[in-house]
Amino acid sequence: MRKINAFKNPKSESMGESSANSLMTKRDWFKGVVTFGLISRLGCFIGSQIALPKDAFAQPSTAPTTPTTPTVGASSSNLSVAQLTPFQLLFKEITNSQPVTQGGIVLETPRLADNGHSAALRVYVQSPMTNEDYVKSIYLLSDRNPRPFMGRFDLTPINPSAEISTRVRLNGSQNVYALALTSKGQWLSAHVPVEVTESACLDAS
Amino acid sequence: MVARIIVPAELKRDTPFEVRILIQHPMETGFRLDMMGTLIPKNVIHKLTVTFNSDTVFQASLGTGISANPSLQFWMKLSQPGLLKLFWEDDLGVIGEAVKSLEIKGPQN
Repeated sequence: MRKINAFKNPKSESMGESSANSLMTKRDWFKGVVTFGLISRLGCFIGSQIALPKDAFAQPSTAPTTPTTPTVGASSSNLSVAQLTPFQLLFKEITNSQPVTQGGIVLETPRLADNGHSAALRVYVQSPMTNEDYVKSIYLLSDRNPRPFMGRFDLTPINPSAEISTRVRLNGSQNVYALALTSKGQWLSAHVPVEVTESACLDAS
Repeated sequence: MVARIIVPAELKRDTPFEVRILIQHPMETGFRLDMMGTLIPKNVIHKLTVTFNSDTVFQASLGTGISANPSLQFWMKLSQPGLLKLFWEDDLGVIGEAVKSLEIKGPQN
């Protein structure tokens, strides 16, 4: 330490007055930078304060308040579009954000599906299936699959009952949703939890 | 690709019966890799139509969430005999058809 001090001191002394001026200028320069930064920050802050009410007014007009469905989750109404899961986005897209009635659909599936590659699923919608009132289409959606859309089935009044059966792929334990659109334009929804021991998606997702 | 339409052996007039459709199809999800490690493109039956005497009875659009070799079941009833035709098309443009003639075995009133 001493050695270093001894080595350094004479050097600093020799630099002495000549470097004093440059030091001052450096300080001034730093002061300038800091003050400039503060001023610009203040400007930004004021700008944002002025701009905020504009955003607040603009938001409701671009994103109309829509009644969200209880099936997707009550909290989804508070989330922005970016925060919605692919399933919730698809649900909104299919129903066009129209109100969805829960019930009226019977979803039958094994409570515990051993094989996620193929789980039997039966969907029954309570409907008289007449020309005036029939089920137009049934959608099958998945909560956790990488692609939530599983299938869409269109029926006609020729079908005596609105019932379909198929086999689905499931990526792990989740809720399977069925959506039905009646000819009167009413949306029905139901979901059933399925436990899956062997997931269908082992490569990706 | 083979497709089958399965109906009960005896069909009665105006009595609901279940129609089962079985199609031999891999229903590729687009997430699977082949032996060389390259991605197998998505290939599902995006369009399926069942007609009876030129009336559309059932239509389906399947996604990747439907198992390989899809099995679909729906209900219909007959007031007259006729031809039940199945037509499907997948993402690679492959089309398939199956025809089943339905005859009524029961009281002819």
